[in-house]
Amino acid sequence: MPINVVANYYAPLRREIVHHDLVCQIQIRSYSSDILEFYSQFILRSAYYINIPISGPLRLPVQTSRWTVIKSPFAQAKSKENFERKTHKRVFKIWDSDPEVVDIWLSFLTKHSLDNIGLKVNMYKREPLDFDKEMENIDISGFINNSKLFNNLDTQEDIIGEKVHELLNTSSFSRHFKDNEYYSQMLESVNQDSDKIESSNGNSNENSSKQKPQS
Amino acid sequence: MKNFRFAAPMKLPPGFINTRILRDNFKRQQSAEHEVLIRALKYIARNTTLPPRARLEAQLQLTSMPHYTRITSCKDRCFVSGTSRSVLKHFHINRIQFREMALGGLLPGVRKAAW
Repeated sequence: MPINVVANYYAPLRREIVHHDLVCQIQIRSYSSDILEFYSQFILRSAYYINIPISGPLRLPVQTSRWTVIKSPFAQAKSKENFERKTHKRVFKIWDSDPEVVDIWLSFLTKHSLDNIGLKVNMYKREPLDFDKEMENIDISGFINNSKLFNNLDTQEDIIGEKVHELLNTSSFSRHFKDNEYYSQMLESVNQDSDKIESSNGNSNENSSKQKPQS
Repeated sequence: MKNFRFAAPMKLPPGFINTRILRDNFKRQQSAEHEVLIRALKYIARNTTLPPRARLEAQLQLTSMPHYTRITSCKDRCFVSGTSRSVLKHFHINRIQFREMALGGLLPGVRKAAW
């Protein structure tokens, strides 16, 4: 038999951790622990052959969720039945390797993943100490416009702000502003501000600066 | 489908359909439609710097809206049987359906507990 086949009968071999530079953390979770044990063996052995130093599996506490329901469809509420679901989790840490290699290895893992297993990956990247200066120069406008989350938040705020404007300019609301000098000035100034912002920004997506009536 | 039953046209919900499910779904659609208006009116009503008469006007408009535009009038219902009682939040199904499905092995990972 080839030696790598023989190795399957022994505990998985590991590469030595030299620099202790944490690159990536993998968490796998499942409802049954057997399948997790099998998959963690696969992770360890494949990491050995691609020269990745790995530590683990670390067992996280089992998360148990329980439900108690009445057994009978009608009445007899004293007799109940308990159900539970246990979520098992294992954590692996990956050290001293090139992130590109880790990426390729992760795609290999997901390609050969088993059913009923969840895989969560945290990648870590080291930056020099003066990274804060670089961060100021990073252009995140594209990210904000493209990301679904930010876009949603932005538009939602905007929609309500616009609606408030629209409502305040209808006759049923604006007539209450005309009685008092202070309030009429306020409405005018708010309208002027919003006009200015619209003319300066054009049709840009970042309308969050558009003012709601003064609060 | 002609809407002879509800005040505004509505889409049919997917899955199990029941009179009560239809009613609940109608409320959900309407509350989603009126959410922006309600938020804006509440903003005006609660803003203390605005003239009191305008705030009162907003409150009157809020109270004059039909009750089916409120999200608070919606209730979780079982996806399988449509009942509103003892619906498990996590699965969105009734206790009876939950027990049958769990015993039948249809809910992944759920099994009878003994400890």
